[in-house]
Amino acid sequence: MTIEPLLDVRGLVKEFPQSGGIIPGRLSPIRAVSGVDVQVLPGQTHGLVGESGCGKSTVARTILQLDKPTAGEAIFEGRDLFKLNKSDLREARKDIQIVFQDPFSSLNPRMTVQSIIEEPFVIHGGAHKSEREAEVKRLLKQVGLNPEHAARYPHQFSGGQRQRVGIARALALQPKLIIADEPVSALDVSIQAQVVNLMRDLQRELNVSYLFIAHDLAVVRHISDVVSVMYLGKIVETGSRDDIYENPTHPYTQALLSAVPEPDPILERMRERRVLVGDLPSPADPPSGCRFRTRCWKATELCAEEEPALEDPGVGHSVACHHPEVEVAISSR
Amino acid sequence: MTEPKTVDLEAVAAIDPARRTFWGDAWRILRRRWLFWVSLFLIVTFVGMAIVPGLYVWPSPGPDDPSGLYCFLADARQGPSSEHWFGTDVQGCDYYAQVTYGARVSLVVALFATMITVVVGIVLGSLAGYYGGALDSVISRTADGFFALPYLVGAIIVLSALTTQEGREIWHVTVAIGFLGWPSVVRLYRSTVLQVKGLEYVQAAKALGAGDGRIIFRHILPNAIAPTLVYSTISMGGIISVEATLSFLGIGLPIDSISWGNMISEAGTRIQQSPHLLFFPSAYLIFASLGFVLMGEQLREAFDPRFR
Repeated sequence: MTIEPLLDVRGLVKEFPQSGGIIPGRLSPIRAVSGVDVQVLPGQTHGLVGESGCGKSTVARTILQLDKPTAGEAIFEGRDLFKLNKSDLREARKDIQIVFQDPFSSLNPRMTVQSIIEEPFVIHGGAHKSEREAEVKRLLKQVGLNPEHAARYPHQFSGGQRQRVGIARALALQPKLIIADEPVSALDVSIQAQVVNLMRDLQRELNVSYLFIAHDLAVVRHISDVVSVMYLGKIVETGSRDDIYENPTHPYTQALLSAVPEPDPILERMRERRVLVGDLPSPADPPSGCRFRTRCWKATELCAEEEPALEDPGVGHSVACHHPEVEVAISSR
Repeated sequence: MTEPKTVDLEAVAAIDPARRTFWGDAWRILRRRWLFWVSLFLIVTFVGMAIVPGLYVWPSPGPDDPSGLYCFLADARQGPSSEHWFGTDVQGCDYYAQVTYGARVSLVVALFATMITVVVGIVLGSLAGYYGGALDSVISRTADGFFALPYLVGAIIVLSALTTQEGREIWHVTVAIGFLGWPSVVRLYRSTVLQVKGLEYVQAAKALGAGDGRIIFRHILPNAIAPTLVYSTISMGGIISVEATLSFLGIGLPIDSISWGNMISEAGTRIQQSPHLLFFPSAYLIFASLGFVLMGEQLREAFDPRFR
């Protein structure tokens, strides 16, 4: 793996100030993301999983600078995105696009599909009206929609079709990287598969990279080359898809994987389950040491005192745990 | 609000999708609604009255009476009759002609005052809502200051500041009403901007590299303007009565200008002897504002794709 990563995020931190309180500035800021490293290789998919509120979406929004990062860097093709000036950032945005979670709010209800998909061309100049129309038709065809429907409004489409429109908009400028923020979690299960397969086919066709954010482990497994597991603003385990799914080493990853239901009823009955107790602690006041210790069945005093580093305990991928469990995989498909 | 949905969807689906436009769709929906036609009729009637009152009043003006209002002092304060449909006023003028000619001033004041409030309100509301921070604080606190000021006191201050030695003119009153009206539009529009700017399609436009102007006008404005439009059509009616109040206090339109407000305020002092003097201009005022309110409501539904 000596290929230069397309996107190399290092030490990403995002804090949100807490407003309110009598004395301003007394409340400590909420650290939604505290030191995340993510690499996306060209033409590959990096899956980012974790439960709601762990900071996955904030990572996406910060890389795109929809929220300003507090610290860290995001090297994209040799340049730090966070240090670009306004016009360079505008140029860079051509290469990095986003697909949002909610297909009902990600498309402007007042615009036709034609104007939604052609907006990237309008913003970045070039292309005459007729060229743009042809391009929109081509994009619609590419995402499996009827090009004749370009004059329709978003509300005339189903959720899955809208998400395809969102993908067409993201593809318009032929980006090198698409950040997909829970792109299928708002869709019906049957539609999820179609959209994920579409994204995978597009990747093969266009050699685009994905940073694929989701909480659904099965979906991430289906599309990812590399998977990182996030917990409370930090990455706790990262490795190739097979490493993570066949050989989960962090207790949290194991618990997540053991929660995936097994389609085969016999296997399902034999399945060993780790049920996590308690809720995700508040990122405003994270536990000392290892952030997972409050819900971990293996936690010791060491976990409360010292934060585990993200390193390889001898399993071939990186884990942030003092007591990594090297065991046979808990089956999950 | 929900009942026309099925009908409209069919109507929309029947059209060749390639030829459909935003305004075309709105028109296709509007023309099926009887309330649209009622409001259109009212608006056309009153706007026509304001532009060419001569169409509504016959006999036409004679040489000795250029206004055509046929005033004979001997006929003062008669009730409605076949000769004088709306009766006569204290000067013995035909009240139907008076009320008809009053449409122009009342509508001009209401229209331009509303335009001032909406334009100022949307510009400041966009700045406050979209940029937030210190700019928002300055604009919002200024608006709060205006709210703290009693309306009439504010109107007196503004009007006395504007009035010159030549006396008051219609545009003084228009500017004064517009100047005092913008804070409510700012509040309303700012709140809808705040609501819309967090939506994902605005974020998507930002991620595409769209500039602030494009986001504010192309993405936020069309999705945030509906409540403001409805508010402003409703406020048209309110402004006509504000104009009446100001006239009643003697700081409104010049006394010689014929407006519904002037007529209502004058009739208020003779309500027991001649109730028709109050009734007819009030009825015109109510129907005129009803026309605008209904039209605002219909437009809002037609332009909102979720009703289609």
